[in-house]
Amino acid sequence: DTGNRLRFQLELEFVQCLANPNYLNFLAQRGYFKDKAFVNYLKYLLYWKEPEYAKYLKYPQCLHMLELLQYEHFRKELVNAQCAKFIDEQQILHWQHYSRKRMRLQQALAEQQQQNTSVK
Amino acid sequence: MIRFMLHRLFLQILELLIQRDGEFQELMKLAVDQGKIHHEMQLLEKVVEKRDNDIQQLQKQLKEAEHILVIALYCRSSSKSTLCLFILKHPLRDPRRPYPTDLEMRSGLLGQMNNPSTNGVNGHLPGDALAAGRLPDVLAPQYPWQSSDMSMNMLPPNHSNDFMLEPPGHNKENEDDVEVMSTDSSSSSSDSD
Repeated sequence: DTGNRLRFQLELEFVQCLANPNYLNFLAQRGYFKDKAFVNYLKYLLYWKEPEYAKYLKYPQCLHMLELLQYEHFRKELVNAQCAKFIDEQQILHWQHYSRKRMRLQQALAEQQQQNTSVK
Repeated sequence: MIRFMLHRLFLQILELLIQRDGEFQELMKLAVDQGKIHHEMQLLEKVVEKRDNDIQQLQKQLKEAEHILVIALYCRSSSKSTLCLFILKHPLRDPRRPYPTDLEMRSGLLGQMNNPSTNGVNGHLPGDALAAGRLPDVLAPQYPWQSSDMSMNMLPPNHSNDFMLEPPGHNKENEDDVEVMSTDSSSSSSDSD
């Protein structure tokens, strides 16, 4: 059971590392995406999409990257540093935009709940 | 009389031979022409086969692009009510950035298993662990992804349901050190050799 626990933690860490486009560029430049065993491993990691496993993820965007990594064309493009940089910038912009939006929505929901509580 | 008849017969046979030779020559010419056409057909078949392969390759790429686009459009078009419900149930765990930093990656279990001072690699995870041959026993070659002809039916992960592990890199000491990233950042979170 210790082996399973260790394997769980290792795979949890590694799958989340895939959310980092710069790390993907690193892997691509070192030829890991050309290794059939590694590609099979990426396919194996798709189990993290299941809710019972996904709840442990701190960086759920890794699942989107993992899906894209199933495609050979995407893996080939990641060798290009400009491509990784573009993905990084878009990812951060998306994250910042929706973080602000989420914050505003949470504030609005909190105010609404407060109003409902005061009316009662 | 007999000599005359023989002579006549000889002439008839000669005419027949000449006629047959003419027909034979024509047939030979026809065979040569057909051989040339057959050769051209073989060349064209090769061209068609190559074009078919190109079309199949393009169709495959189109399908991949379409799938990526569908995923992107689906994420964009999620309904607001679904988003509200999701926000209430899943607050942001790390509002600073959507992926682990280099520091978080190195401080996790994978990073600690690798020793950059002895193997000369720059310490990036599990790629370097693989390169250095330091793969833990739990990831040793008995797992299906090690086989080049892995079947579609992969072994399911054999994990207990009792794990209550903290997410990787969860360290309060890191919280004060990290700045909100800007789009102008030119630094890479992974070192390159």
